[in-house]
Formats: sequence, structure tokens, C-alpha cells
Amino acid sequence: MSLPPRSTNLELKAPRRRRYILAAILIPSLIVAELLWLHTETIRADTLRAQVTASHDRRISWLTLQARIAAAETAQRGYLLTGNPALLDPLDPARNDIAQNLSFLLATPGAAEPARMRRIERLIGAMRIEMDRTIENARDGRGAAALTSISTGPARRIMDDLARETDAAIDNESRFANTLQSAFTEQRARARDNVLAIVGIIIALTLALLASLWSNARKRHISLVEAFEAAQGSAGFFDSTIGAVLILSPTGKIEVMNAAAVALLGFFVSAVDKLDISTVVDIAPGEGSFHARLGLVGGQLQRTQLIDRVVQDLHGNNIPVDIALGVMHAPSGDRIVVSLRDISERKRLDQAKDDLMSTVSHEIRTPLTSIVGSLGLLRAGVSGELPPEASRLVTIAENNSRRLIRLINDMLDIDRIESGKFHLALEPIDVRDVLERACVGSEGKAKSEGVRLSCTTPDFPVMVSGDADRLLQVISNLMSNAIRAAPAGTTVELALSITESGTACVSIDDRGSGVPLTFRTRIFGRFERAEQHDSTMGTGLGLAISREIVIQHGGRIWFEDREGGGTRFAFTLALMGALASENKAAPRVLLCCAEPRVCNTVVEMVGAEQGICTVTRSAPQAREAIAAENFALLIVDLDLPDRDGLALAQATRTAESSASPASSFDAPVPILLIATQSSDTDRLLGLEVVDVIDGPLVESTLAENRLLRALRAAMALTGSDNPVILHLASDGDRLASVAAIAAVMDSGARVVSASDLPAAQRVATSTVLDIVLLDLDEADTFDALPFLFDTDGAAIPTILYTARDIATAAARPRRATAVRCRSARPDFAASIRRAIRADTAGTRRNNAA
Amino acid sequence: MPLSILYVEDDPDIRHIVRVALSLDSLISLEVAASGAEALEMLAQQQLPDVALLDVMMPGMDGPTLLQKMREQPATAALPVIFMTAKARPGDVADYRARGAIGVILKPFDPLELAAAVRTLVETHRRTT
Repeated sequence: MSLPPRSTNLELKAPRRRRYILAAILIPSLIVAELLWLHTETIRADTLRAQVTASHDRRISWLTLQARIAAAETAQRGYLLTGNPALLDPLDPARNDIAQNLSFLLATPGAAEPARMRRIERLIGAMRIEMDRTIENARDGRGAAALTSISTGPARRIMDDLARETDAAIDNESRFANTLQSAFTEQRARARDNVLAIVGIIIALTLALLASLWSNARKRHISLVEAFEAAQGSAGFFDSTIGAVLILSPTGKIEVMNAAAVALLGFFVSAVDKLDISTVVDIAPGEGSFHARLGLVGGQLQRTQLIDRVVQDLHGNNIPVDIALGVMHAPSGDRIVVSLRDISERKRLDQAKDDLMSTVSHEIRTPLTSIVGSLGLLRAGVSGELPPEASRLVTIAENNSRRLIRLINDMLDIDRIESGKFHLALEPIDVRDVLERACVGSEGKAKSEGVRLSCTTPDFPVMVSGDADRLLQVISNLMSNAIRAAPAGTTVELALSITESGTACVSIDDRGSGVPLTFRTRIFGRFERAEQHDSTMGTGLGLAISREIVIQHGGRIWFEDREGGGTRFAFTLALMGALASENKAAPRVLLCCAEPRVCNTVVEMVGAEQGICTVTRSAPQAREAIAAENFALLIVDLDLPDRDGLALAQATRTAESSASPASSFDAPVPILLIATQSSDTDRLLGLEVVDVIDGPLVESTLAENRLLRALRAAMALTGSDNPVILHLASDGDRLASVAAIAAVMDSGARVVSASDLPAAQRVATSTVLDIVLLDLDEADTFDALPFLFDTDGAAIPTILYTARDIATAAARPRRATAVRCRSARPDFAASIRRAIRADTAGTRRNNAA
Repeated sequence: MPLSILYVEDDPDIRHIVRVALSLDSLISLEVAASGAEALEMLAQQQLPDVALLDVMMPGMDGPTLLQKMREQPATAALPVIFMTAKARPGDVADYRARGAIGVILKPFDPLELAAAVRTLVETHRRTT
């Protein structure tokens, strides 16, 4: 169930910085540009104004010049006309003014074209000369000539030219002034327009900004409203849901709990202190980030269901739950949604049902015990021979009681299968043993039906990882079906074989009338029964249960018709160390081990090396097996019940040396002792035992001789001319005596002593060791095991000894070897490999590595 | 070989059956107790049997509790014990063995095979000790 998709107006993209930066750069730039422009225009205006002023001054100057020239002329004319010298008074001031103005105009740039200025200058100069001459003439009485000169003569011409030139100059100036004026006016108009434009832009920008602000505010409001509504909706949904839901932050802290979660767990998470989910339930063990530990990869959870977990509530009570996980992608990080379903009720019901089944079955079995017991005894004649009819009646009662028993057993099995509680206890077993038991168990039934039994098994072990009792149940079931189906006088054949594909196959053949057509598809279903007309009917559950057992063994079960009539029922089982059993020349390994998981591991390892493992569970069993056949390798668990491992190793060596004292240790059987590193059965440590010697070395010649022999054997094993021997012991006497013995051997052997574990560790990590001597009386002898391996990871040949007897030494409690190995790991498989290969090759340690 | 057995069972019918069934083996000598308490008394007063055959479900003191009490006393600490129970399927055997029994005989049993079953368990136990 999911919420309908909601649209939102709010763009989920974050606002782009670039745009704003661009605007932040552009707008001030524009403004600055405007200001610069204004500034420029202002300067230009000033310039223009200055120019106008200058032009004005020049014009004034020209006009003044003209006026003074006119005045000078008038003065001159007046004098000429009247001869009154007083009229010449204004002449000098006028001529001064003219000179002044002229020099001013000459000095002022732009007054007139240079050519014109020169002309004017020349003309004024000429005018001056003429004036002087004229006045002189007049003074000298040549007034008439003077007048003529000034009215029509050169003076006139000069004055006219002067007037013309100065007029032109003034016109130019006027025109120039007008131009300036227009420019000025234009500029002012432009400036005004520009300012208006700027104002306009500012207004526009302001409006735009306000519009944008308004739009954003509106959008935000709408989004907030929608978000609020969505949150309200989700909250309502969240809190009303029956299941407990928690939402976890990306770091695994509880962010939100719904009402149901609060009710289940009894506490409420305040916003301030966020609890880590691991205080409630451990769904993400290990190290690393929360998401990595949880299995969130690429936005997807690797596991979404955690079945049958336990959560802790506020008071520390354990509540059984099923957990479902989901991912909620949020912009600030992926949230994990944890749904808890309280299964305590279901567990209670399951438990109640189990209890009921078990009680009922017990309550039914108890009286059945008496019934079947009494009837069996009666039939056996304990109270005298029964008359035939009585015997028949008793047999009927007994058979039906047995039927009831089978029914109860089958019902219990089916119930367990259906509730998923049907489990097998798997361990390495030889299927041949199971067949034998089945055969023996079916003899009675076969005899009473007049059916013969034949049992065929191979002559090598067929090791599978299986539950012997359950496999027996399957074979017995198939056999009883076969016996029932087989006509009297025929044979039911039970056989064990290895198929081409490398699996074990058990087959039961009969010469009955075959499986009826109507049953062929349903035969392995529950309560399916073929029509039978005798009283020994099956419960109809047998094949269903057999099928489940076979499936849980990883095999398959089927039936087929036989040529010539009859049926074969068969099932397959996966072999341990798959192809090993096929090769009859494969090396035989004896394993003596009681702990099933260790057994399994070792059998697998042996199989991987193409060896076949015979499994024994105790030292006596192992001794029997060793006596019966030759093995290429013995693997013994150090932790056998009663700590027999060491004793077994010693006994084997003793037997070897007494069997062939002369050639002893030419080819001793390699013995590997297994020690498990604390409770970590995946890490097997091996000890390759050359010998185990007891008796105080200093006093016992026997022990000394044995040690000597063992050292020689070990040196023969190493194949090195200068073997390095590590001696781990703290007893000074012991050290001395061993050193003495070693010296006796006259070889390049070098003995390195270590009196405690750290010293041994140092030696082991810095030197290549060939042989190890371990003093069993050292408290932490076995703690050295993690270091005593060679470059291949295989165990180094070791001689163990004790001053006491083996049983006492072995009985010392062994501390769990919890020492960390160095980065190179002891490799038990390598030890096995070497031992097996050495045996098949007939030589040992041909300078490996 | 002779074998002396102490048998503890509260159900009188089953007691009778077992008595008769074990009597088929003439070399077996049988002592019977009807409860754990009675069994402990008998163990204290008489010579120890070779093996104790204990019913599991009994009112008062059940089989495992009786076993525990036996283990607490030095005289009976090493006495081998076989449980008899209707409340187990083959897979539960390991469980009982973990509690200290040398084996389990499931009810209902074949009375004709009972003696042999007990002997087998005792012999296997003796061999591996």
C-alpha cells in the first residue's frame, strides 16, 4: 500500500548560485558604468562651458579690437579733419588696447586660423605705420594727402581688409560659439535622457525583485502547506497503523517512532537524545558505517526480512519479533524504515501446540507401551504356549498396536516437518552401517512374510554427512513397503552403490506388482495409501516423511519400474569428500574425533585431498580400526573424551616400534593431533606427533632412548642437514638433559631453547623451525601451537614429553588457546595434504618451499 | 554375563511388563522401585547395581532429577543410567545423553528385545570408558 503521489510546486533543485553571482556582478557593474558615463559627461559639459566662455572672451576681444581700431580711426580722422591735436588723445589708449587685445588674441588658441591671424597682425602693423605716417603727414601740413590716404588710399585698403578679416574672425567665432552651444544643449539633453533611463531601470529592477520575492514567498507558502498536509497525512497513517514502525537516521539512530512502536517498546524517544537502534535490537552487527553493516548497497537493502529476532523494551524484557526493513530516500540521507511484528503470541501458540503434541504423544505412548508389551510377551509364550486361535487374536491386537505406534510417530514427524521444526543431527557416517542395521532390523518381518533379503554394499566406506537414525527410518520404511509388496518366495534386494555422478545411491528392489497407476504421481504425498488387504498397513505418512528426510540430506528419492516386474525405490545422498570413494587406491585416513562439527570439517578436508576418512568416536574404537587395517594418516582430536588423544598417539608409536624394532620409524604412520582454537572450530590447529614420551627423562633410560629414536625419526622427516629444533621447556634439568641427548646425535642439529611462551613466539617468528620439542608439563604448552607451523602453514614435526604419565599430563586443564596468530595462518589442510602425499609418494619432505 | 539392574518406573503396568521382559534373560537380576525416592533408598542400602534404568516422566522426582541426585553422591556418581521415555524421537537421544545418560530406550519398546537393548548400551559404555 502506498500513498498517492503528491506534486509539489517547490523545485527540489537547490537555487543556482551562478545566476545570483552573475546578477551580483552585472548590476553593480552597470551602475558603475553609468556613473562613469555620467562623470565623463559632466567633465565634457564643463569643458564645453569653458570653451563657450573662452569663445565669448575671444569674441569680446575681437569686438573690442574692432571698436578700438574704429576709435583709433575716428581719432585720426578727427584730427585730420579738424587738426585739433586734442582729438588725438584717445589714439594712444586705443592703440594700446589694440595691442593688448591683439597679443591676447595671438596668445589665445583658436582665436582664428593662423593665416588670418598673421594677416591681421600684419594689417594692424601696417595700420599702425599708416596711421603714424598719416598723422605725421597731417602734422607736417600734408593733411590733404593724408585724408586721401585714409579715404581711398592704402590706409583705406588696410582698414577695409582689417575690417573684413576681423569680421570674418568674429563670424567664425560666432559660428563656433553656436556650435558649442548646440553641443552643450545636446549633451544636457543626453544626460537628462540617461538619468531618466537609469531611473527607469532602477524602478524596473526593483519591481522585478519585488515580483520575484513575492513569487518565491508564495511558492514557499504553497509548498509548506502541501508539505504540512503530507506530513499530517503520513503522521496519521503512521500512527494509526497496527505494526510498530521506527525510522532510523543514516547513522542508525531512532528518529521517529509511531504510536504502536511506543506501545510495544514502552519508551519514547525525545528529539534531543536519539537512541541507537542497537539498544533495542541488533540488526546491524559488525564494524563500519551503519548502512554498510545493515547491507544497504546502492540504495537497496540486501536483506529485507529478519525472521524471529528479539527486541528489548524499556524494562529489558525480550520480545520476539519478525522484522521487515525498507529504505526511504531523503535528500539528507537514506532513512531505514523498521517494521516490527510482535510474534510472541504466535510463539506462544506454537509452543502450546508443541507441548500439546508432545504431551498427547506421550500420553498415548504410555498405555501403548503396556499394550504392546503385554501382547508381545504373551505371543512369545511367557505364560505358556497359546492356543492357535488365541495366538492369532493376540497377533492381531499386537500388529494393530504397532500400527498405532507408527501412526503416532509419523504424525509427530509430519507436524514437525510442517512447522519447520524437523531437524536432522548431521555427522559423518558410513552408510554401510545404516544398511546393515536396516537389514538386521527387517529380518523378522521378511521371515514372517516368506521373503528373502539380500544386502549389497561396497567394500570401502561410503561417507556422508547424515543422521543415522533418520536414514535408518527411511530405509526401514522402504524395506517394509517392499517386503509387503513382494510375493512370498521372492527376494527384496537392498543395495548401496556409487553413481556415475559421484553420489551415494541406496536402492530397494522388489518383485511385487508395481505401484498402481493411480498412485504414481501422489505416492510421496501424505496419507496416500495403496489398497492393501492385509493388516500390516502403512500409515500413509511413511513416504512423505522419508521424502523430507532425503531432501534434508540434500538428496532425491524416486521409484522406477523394474524390467521383469516389480519396483525399485531409491534415493541418493551427497558424498562427503565427493570423489574420494571412487578411487579404491585413495589414501585411507583414520579420524578419531567426538565433536561433530570438527569431525565434519576434517572429513571434508580429507576428502578434498582425495583421501577416504574412517570415523571413530573413541580411542578404543580407533585402536580396533588401526589393528584391522593400515592407514596412511591418523588424525586424533586432542580433546577426546577422557583426553585419550595423546595416549592413542603414544600407543600407536609403541606398537609400531615393537612390531619392527629394527626398522622402526622408517615409515611411521603420520599422526596429526587436532586442537581447536578456543571455540572456533573453523580454525583447526594441527600438531604432527613424532612421538609422545613419558617418564622423567633424567632418570629413565627407556625414556631417553625413546627420545633419541624420536629425534632421529624427526630428523629423517625434515630432510634438512642442519635442522633447527625448538625446545619449549622451563625446567633447567630437562633442558640440560635434552641438550645432552641432542649432542649425542652428532649432527648439524641446532637446539634453540625457549623457556616461556613469548620466547617461543619470538623464536618461531624469526627462525625457520624444523622440529619442535614440547614439554607437556609446561602450563601453556598448547598455547604455542598457533606458531608452530612452517612456511606452507603445515604443522612441524613435534615430540611431546612429560615427566609424569600421559594420563596425568593430559588431564591438566588446557586453557583455550586464544592467542592471535601472526598474519600467516596455520593451515590444517596443508598438514593433511603433506601427510597424505608423503605417504602416497613414499618419501617425506622433499625440500618443499 | 550377569547384569544387575535397578529399574525405576511409576506406572505399575509398565513395571510388570518390564519385569517379565527382562526375566527372559536369565542372567539379569532386577530390582524395582516405584519412585525416585524409593530408588535412592535402595541405592543407599543395598549393593550397587551395574546399571540403573530410569523412567523419565514420574510424579514427584522425575528421571533427570533422580540422575542428578545420584551424581551428587559419591557412591552412585559413576553409576551408568539409561532413560526410558515415551517423550522422544530419535533426534532427542543426544539431548538425554548430554544430561548424563549412557543411552535412551524409547517407549513403546519391543519387550523381546529389551534385555538385548540394555546389554548393548551397557557394553558400548564399558568399551568406551
